[in-house]
Amino acid sequence: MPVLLAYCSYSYSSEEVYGTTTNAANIGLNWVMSNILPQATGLTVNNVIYRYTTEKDPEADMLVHVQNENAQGNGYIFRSTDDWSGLPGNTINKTIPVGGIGIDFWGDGSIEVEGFGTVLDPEVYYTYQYVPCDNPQSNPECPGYIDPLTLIQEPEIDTSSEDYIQEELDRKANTKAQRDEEEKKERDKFAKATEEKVRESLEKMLGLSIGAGLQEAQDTLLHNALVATNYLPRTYFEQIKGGEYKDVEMLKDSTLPDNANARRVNFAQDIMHQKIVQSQYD
Amino acid sequence: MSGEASAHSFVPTYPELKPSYVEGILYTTMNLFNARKDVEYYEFGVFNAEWEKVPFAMQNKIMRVKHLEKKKIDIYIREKDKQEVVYICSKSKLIIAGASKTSVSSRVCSKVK
Amino acid sequence: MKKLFILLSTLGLAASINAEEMEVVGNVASKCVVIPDTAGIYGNPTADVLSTDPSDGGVDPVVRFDVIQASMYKAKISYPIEFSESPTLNDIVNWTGSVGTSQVSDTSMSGYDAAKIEFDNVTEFSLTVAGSTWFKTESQADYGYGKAFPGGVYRAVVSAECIAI
Repeated sequence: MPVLLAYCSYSYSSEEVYGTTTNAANIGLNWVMSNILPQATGLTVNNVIYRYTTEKDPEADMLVHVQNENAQGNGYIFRSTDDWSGLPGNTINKTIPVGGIGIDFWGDGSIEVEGFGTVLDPEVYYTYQYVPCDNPQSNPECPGYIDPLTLIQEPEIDTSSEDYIQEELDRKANTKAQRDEEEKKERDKFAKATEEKVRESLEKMLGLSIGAGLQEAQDTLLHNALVATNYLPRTYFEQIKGGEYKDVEMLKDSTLPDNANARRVNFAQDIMHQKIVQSQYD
Repeated sequence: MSGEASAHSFVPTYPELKPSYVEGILYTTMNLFNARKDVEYYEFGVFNAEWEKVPFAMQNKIMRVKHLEKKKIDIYIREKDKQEVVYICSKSKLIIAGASKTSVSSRVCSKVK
Repeated sequence: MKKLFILLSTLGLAASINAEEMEVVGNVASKCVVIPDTAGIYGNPTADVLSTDPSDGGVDPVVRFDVIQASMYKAKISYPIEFSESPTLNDIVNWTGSVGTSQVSDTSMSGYDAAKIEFDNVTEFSLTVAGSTWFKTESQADYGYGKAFPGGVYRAVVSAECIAI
């Protein structure tokens, strides 16, 4: 089938492009419009051209609907019904102007048969038009196209401004405070866990924990069994003489002089710190 | 569903015979449009109800009408033949040498009422 | 106050005089356009037969009739009964053929085939529905009595007439 209005301009300009789709019904009686129409901004459909052949008993009732759902609401944006009731089958060929309906309204299409009969060799075409550079961002070759990468570049910041310095100091202070808080939380958590462990151990040692009596009986049985098998060495039963070890010498307090070398190091560190801080603003 | 323009039309459908500047002679103006690429000449004829020829006059009974050309054609008929005139026809003339395959000869006839 | 009233009345009168009714007149003239759609080709299934039937290797010629108003014209289509160009033939050629609708732009046109009038090689259809109708013409030429067609080019003409009724 020769293509109607098959004029296409491939130069990206403000000239309108006119075209005709391929056969929408080439793989069946239902089709998805996004696979049929070029996805161009501002595209409008001007005509629906369809052709199909019906096979039917001349006496039988048969309605054939060629239709497109309304993608922006309920019902159909286009629906053409052919009444073949009481007529012999034939090939119908229709061109229906639709008056430039925007691409957003064209929902999925179908050929629906009501009654008795078969639709053969269906062909459905849409003629359309659009301005290729209606949206300049649709193609880099369009006049007025702006590279999106240039839009996401970081803005230039004046690092010498007071606002920036204050902001940075606040940010650092906030970061330090946050870090300190996290460390404190971690320490508290560790202390709590340790305390819990110690308490449990003490309870066990003092026989306060639940089931301590049972544990003691089991330990006695295990001990007796080990002794019976002569598994434990004799030293295990020896008593070790204990006692108290007292401090023999205490350091007497007196005036401790400042370390001059350390002071120098402190000053050097201060100077270095100030240099580093200053280098951020240079 | 062919987009090729290849048509032959001849209007008005119902022409009227009007008095001409010559006494006793009636005339009517017909319009021919040739959108057939394969045809450049058309023959005109005037017939009665039995499809018998009725005498008439015009500039050329076979006229050249180029592709996509519209032409106004004045056809003159004697007043005494007025009652007899029923059909005014234009017929495509095929050039054998230029014809290819099986050609279609088209004829469109208007009816004088 | 009286003067103002008179002035306004006068202006109103003037306005009513200046307002003219515009009439929009439309006239749809009947018209018939004959459009050859598909050129026919003769196939040569056997030595003594030339046929436009696609099963014989031919192509049926198709002609389209467009009418703007219903029941103003009739289509008169004739299948060929002689060659417009052929080699010299020494025997008679028997012609057979038929004309029917191949496509319609309105389902009601499907009834044209049942209502057609055939005589000799001519088929008449009353174009009772406005729109486009495609008519297909099948034709077959049998040469002599089982004789082979001599080699050469064969052409024939289908006549399509649109006649005001």
